[in-house]
Amino acid sequence: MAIASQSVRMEEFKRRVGGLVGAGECILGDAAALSSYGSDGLIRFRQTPEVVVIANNAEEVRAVVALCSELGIPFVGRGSGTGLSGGAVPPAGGVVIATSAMKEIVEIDPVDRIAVVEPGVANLAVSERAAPLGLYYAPDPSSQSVCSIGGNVAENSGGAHCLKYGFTTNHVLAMEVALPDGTLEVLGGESPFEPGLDLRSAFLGSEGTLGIVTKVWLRMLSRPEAVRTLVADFESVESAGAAVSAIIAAGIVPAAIEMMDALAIEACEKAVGAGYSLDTAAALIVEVDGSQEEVDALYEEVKSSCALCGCTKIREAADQAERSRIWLGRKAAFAAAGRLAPAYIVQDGVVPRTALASVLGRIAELATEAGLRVANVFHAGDGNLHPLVLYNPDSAEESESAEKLATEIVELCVEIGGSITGEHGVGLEKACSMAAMFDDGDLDVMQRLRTAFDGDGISNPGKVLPSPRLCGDVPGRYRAHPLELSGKAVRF
Amino acid sequence: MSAGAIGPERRLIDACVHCGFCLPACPTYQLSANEAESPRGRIDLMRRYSDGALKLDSDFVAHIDSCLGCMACVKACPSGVEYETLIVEARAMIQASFVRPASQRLVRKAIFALMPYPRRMRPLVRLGGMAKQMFGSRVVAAAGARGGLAGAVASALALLPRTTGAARPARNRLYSAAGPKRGTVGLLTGCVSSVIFSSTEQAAIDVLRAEGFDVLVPAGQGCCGALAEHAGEARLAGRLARAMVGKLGRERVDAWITTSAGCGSTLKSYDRLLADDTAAAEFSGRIRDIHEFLYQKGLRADYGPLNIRVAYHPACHLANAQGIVDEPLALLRSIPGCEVLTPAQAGTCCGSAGIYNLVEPATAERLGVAKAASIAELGVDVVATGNPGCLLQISRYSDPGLESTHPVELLARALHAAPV
Repeated sequence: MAIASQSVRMEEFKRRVGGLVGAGECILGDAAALSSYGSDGLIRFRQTPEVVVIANNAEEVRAVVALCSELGIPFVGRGSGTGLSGGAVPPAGGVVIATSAMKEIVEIDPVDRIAVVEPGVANLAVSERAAPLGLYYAPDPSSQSVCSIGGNVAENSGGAHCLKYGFTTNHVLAMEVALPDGTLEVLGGESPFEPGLDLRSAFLGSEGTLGIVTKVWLRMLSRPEAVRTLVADFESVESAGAAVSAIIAAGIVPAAIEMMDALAIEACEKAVGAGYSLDTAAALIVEVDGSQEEVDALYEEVKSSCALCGCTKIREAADQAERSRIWLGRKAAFAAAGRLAPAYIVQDGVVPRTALASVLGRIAELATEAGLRVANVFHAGDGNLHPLVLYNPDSAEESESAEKLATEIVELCVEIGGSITGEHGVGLEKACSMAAMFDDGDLDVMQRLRTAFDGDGISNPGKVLPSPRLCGDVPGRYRAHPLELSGKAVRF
Repeated sequence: MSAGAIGPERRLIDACVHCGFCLPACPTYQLSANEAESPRGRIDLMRRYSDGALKLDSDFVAHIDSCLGCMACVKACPSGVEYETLIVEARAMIQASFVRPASQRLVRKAIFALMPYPRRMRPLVRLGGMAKQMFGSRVVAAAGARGGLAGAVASALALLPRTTGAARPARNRLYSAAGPKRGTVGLLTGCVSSVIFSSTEQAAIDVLRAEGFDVLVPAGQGCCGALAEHAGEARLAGRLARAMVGKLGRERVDAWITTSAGCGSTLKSYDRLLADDTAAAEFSGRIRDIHEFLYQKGLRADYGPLNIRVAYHPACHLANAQGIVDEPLALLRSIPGCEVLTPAQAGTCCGSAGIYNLVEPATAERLGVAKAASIAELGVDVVATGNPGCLLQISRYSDPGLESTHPVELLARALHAAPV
């Protein structure tokens, strides 16, 4: 009975949705296009949506959400679909509301340093537009040329320079959102302090479970007067890790400290030709910024910290072009891993910075046990690891051990006092690992907050919070439910 | 290449990790914001078809058809996906196993029965010029927005240049080098080019001679197959390519020079198009785009001042498919008094894209208008680009006062402006 009524409601949705969308586009019967919305940046998960709406403005988003609410149809917001935790995978029998066509930069106020943008604007496009004003938008995910501001807000995205400047949450003053009941609200405000409960912060990073962002007020920063970047090679991952600790212990907060191991260096070099040394075990990219005097002083200190920890070679970026090339290599790392193996899993975990070296040693052991290769790139300054587990998808056995290894790595992070994700989000991939990190009380509080926004559970259901039905009540790694194994139920 | 019915190779599909770095580079995604109109979306369609999860229906075909083949995504891809091969194989698969509606079939049939054959094209182009004068460009442009054969004819008419006056340089001749000889080259005249752009041909001969090269221009060269290959007409492309290698492969020249970016990219991939044909691979290895060739050899002749502002439009098949980016700029900048500018979003396709502006007129028009506007913003006297299709497309949407030409024509003009 329930199934029949669901399909009847979807029929009604399909009949009415066209009338709500003017300049935007509704994809209803085009099976090919619907299929192309089945996955985001994490292609292991796939669910073809019933309908895709490419909205043209906030009102269209609101109206479609309102119709979903009226008919009890689940939906997910989608920006550029570059997420790496399956956060934008459509709910079964659900609707995708894409904000990819909403890409207007409404205004940039150079005095108050606020940019007002639509959610589909690419992260980098904001900085490019603001460049003539001497301003930029600080959070810089590796996918910044593609990923959208709306997606950044949903995921509280980070990036290499978050060590000094913080995550998306530190750079968003306010946002207009379509709440799951079909109303538009503005959360936060233009002043740095807003009285009352901080709903902006509750929404930011909620991975689409509390609604869809339709407009964002961004805090813009002045371009630092000076920037200097170096690449330091090390004989071992341990000595590179020790250098990271030494730099931070010296009281320096560099704009970024990134580490790559030999395999990651090989991939980036193949993709971009950034000029990294191919004969080194590990390399750090360290960048300092600020006023000229400050930068010069810090830069010397960074160099001596590296030297003290056994650095074998330092390459200094001579100009902006060389800096860009160094970063281009690093930022292409994930996609470039495609050149080392036909498939890979990007893991995302956090460990205490002091434990970096020992964790990397342990990851290498786990990889050897599994008979797989793992390349490591990470935001070393804040202990955010990105091991890339390489495998061949044609071998079912290898695929399975890759997934197992990826989970073991993230559980290792939790075990030593870290976290299951540093910036990629929980999404679909790690919903069942939440229980490894939070107890029932914590999860219950999150669930109640979620219900306060979305009583019917229609906004991106099945993401972030573990669903007791299929993850099971036992804490730990996701285990397939017998019903799922027999094909009678799907994980959502 | 195989008949193509089996579709793109799975290994090439799986190289795509779905990261989305191609999205900002893709003109059709930028216009539509639709995932299925993006490179990774199209590759995903190929993957799903290969999995048996999608059928080859008209929607599927429309998303593959809408690709311009501009290859901007290839440059943006960190994983090294060979999209250029994937799209050609997907199109060949469609042509082999999908039955298009009659009107589409008719348009394609007409295009490929005419365009590769200069003898058939020449009288039509002349007729077209007359028709344009009779009915006026505006009527023609309005009709071009319609689909089907009438729309394609109208689009073709709208694209025709305002003048095609220059006389065609004589064929089967060896034009001898002026001054000390540096080598011998052959000039590829192309199909559409040879009918419409005789002045480019003449300019190429003049500049190559002045630079010390004997220039051979064989008669009856035929079409290289580029238009057919890019449209998935694999069999026709193979036949045309084989004929060209048969006709020209034995000529003793150091290099074969082309002034057309689209032709150059296909000619350089004959080793793939005609796999196992060593003569084709050898011929293919001698192909040089004229910018590439002149830049490698270094300019020695005297070029006089032109005193003009030029906008350079990088043709996709030059910049993306052949990686020839800096050479044309350097050549133009070596002309005294020639200020060279590049428009905003220079890397975005102008919408010409082979036969694209005949079969997908709506998207082509949006891109053409945008490209013309970004060039107009520069306030230049001339727009120069190394591909005949781009020249026609850009001048169609530009102010009639803006001269459009091939960079080699500017070099030739400067040559004649040289103080004696």
